[in-house]
Amino acid sequence: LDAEQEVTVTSAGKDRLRALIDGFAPDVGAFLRRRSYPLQAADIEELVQAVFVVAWRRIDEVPSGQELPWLIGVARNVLNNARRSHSRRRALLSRVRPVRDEPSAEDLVTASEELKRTFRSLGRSDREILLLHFWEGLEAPELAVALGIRQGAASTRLSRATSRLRANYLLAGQHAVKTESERT
Amino acid sequence: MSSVDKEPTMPELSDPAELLREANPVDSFAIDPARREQMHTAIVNGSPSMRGPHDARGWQLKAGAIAAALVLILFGVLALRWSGTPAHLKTISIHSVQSSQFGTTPGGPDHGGGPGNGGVSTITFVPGPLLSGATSSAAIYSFDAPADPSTPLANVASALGIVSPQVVTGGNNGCGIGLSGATAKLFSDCNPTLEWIYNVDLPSCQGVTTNAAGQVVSCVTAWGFNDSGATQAQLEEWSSPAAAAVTPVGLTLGDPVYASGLNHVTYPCEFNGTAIVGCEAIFQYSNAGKLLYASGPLAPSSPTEFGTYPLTSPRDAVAEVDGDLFVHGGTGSSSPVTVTLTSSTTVYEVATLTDGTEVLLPAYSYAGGNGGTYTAIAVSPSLVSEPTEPEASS
Repeated sequence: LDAEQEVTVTSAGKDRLRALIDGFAPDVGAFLRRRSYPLQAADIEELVQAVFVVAWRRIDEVPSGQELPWLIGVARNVLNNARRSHSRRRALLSRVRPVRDEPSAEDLVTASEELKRTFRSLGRSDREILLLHFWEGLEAPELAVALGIRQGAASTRLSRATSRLRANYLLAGQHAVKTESERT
Repeated sequence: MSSVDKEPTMPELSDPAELLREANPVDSFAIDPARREQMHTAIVNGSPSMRGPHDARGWQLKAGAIAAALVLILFGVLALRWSGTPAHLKTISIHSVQSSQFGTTPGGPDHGGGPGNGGVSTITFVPGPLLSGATSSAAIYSFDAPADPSTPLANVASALGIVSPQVVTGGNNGCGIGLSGATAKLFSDCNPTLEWIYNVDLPSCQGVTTNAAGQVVSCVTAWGFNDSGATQAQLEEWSSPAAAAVTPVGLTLGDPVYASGLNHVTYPCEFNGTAIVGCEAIFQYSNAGKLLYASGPLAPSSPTEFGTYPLTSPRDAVAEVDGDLFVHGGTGSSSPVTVTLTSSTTVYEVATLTDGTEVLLPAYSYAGGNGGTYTAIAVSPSLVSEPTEPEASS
């Protein structure tokens, strides 16, 4: 590329980054907030920015039409890294304080005790794909992008996880009823 | 607050999938235009690490990055030599760890409190007095999924009594295959390690369905997974031969764990006598002893020693324990929860490296004073790096 072309590409890249931020930053923020409840908004915005730093580095790799699942895939790793990294963790934790007594995301899931038991009885990959589907609204093609797996695998895993959720939910309910009847 | 959070509500639904959908705690998260503009400006004009690939000064940055990398390599070699760590060991560049997505072991207890009584933002882990401060070393093993899973899958099908299994073309996920028998199916999955799953043929409706009026109702037909009356002795009698028969070469199965009231038994996988986190063989039965569901690992092909790595001590590795940003319940207190880790055992985590290699990574599994179980990678942190980049989709 000559200098003129480079400037043009850079400008296009900046425009695309702006479009990505304007179009998807709120969705990425919502994803991060669901998973890191109850982080304060400023901390969420910092993590959102970290996601778009990766997007900027790889601006040509962000798939058109699949931007959100790709960004959620990045956000999952940014969050995992923040959780596991010493320096990032300390930097975050130094500011992370509860703003009020709030139930966590999983506590809200657990408005039903049976659902709470059931959700936690599932494997990690099952829980992850269920949350990506039912909370982020990702369908199999988007799940494939977010998780870096094939669409068929995403479809199979979602179907299997949903079946297990339903199966274990029924068993949890039946067990609770049985235990209660044995007590009385 | 810039997010729109929902009050916890209990919808009039009995389908847990819909309950889960309704439990979404955050409808949206607003970032005002000025903040978005600030974000854009910070990224494109920020530090060199934030610059994009088409920056007009890209060649300068590349040259700078190469120089910096050389300095880092030199510094790293010197630091490793100075610290006594073998200099020939490659840094373990982790892409993902199988069990790292949530902080605690699935099914683990709450960190105190009950529903609706949460609100704690951090969990601080502290080492108990019995945790060892001694360092050690352990081998990391790399392994591959079997190139052709059809043979080990056929062995499992035979062990589980699947009658006349027929290969289903290519499975349904690109890397697995399926075997369909007269009354049951067996198929392989590929992520993150190859495993098999056994299912009996079930009615199309599994528990609940939506009727023509859009109401969620129970299925009319009897459903397979609703038995819960088997005793532990019966579960042991039924599952022991099956477990022995499906144990892949190279692995062993540990002591079974019985789930009360679920007709469900789980055997942990072990390699060289060390448990592998997330690897297990599961069997679920009807009250009459019919196998309804099972899953387990296919044999990894030829585990090879990747290298012997120094391990940080169980006491020091407490600093690496995961689980602080995810909150599972709480005490209602505004101060962070402190969990004392009272004992540790060495386990293997299944990890995928950035080059796609799958490895068994030494880790510590801690028992928390609150009854929870937590893990941390045991390999010396100076030899482990974790990226933030997403994996490429296929």
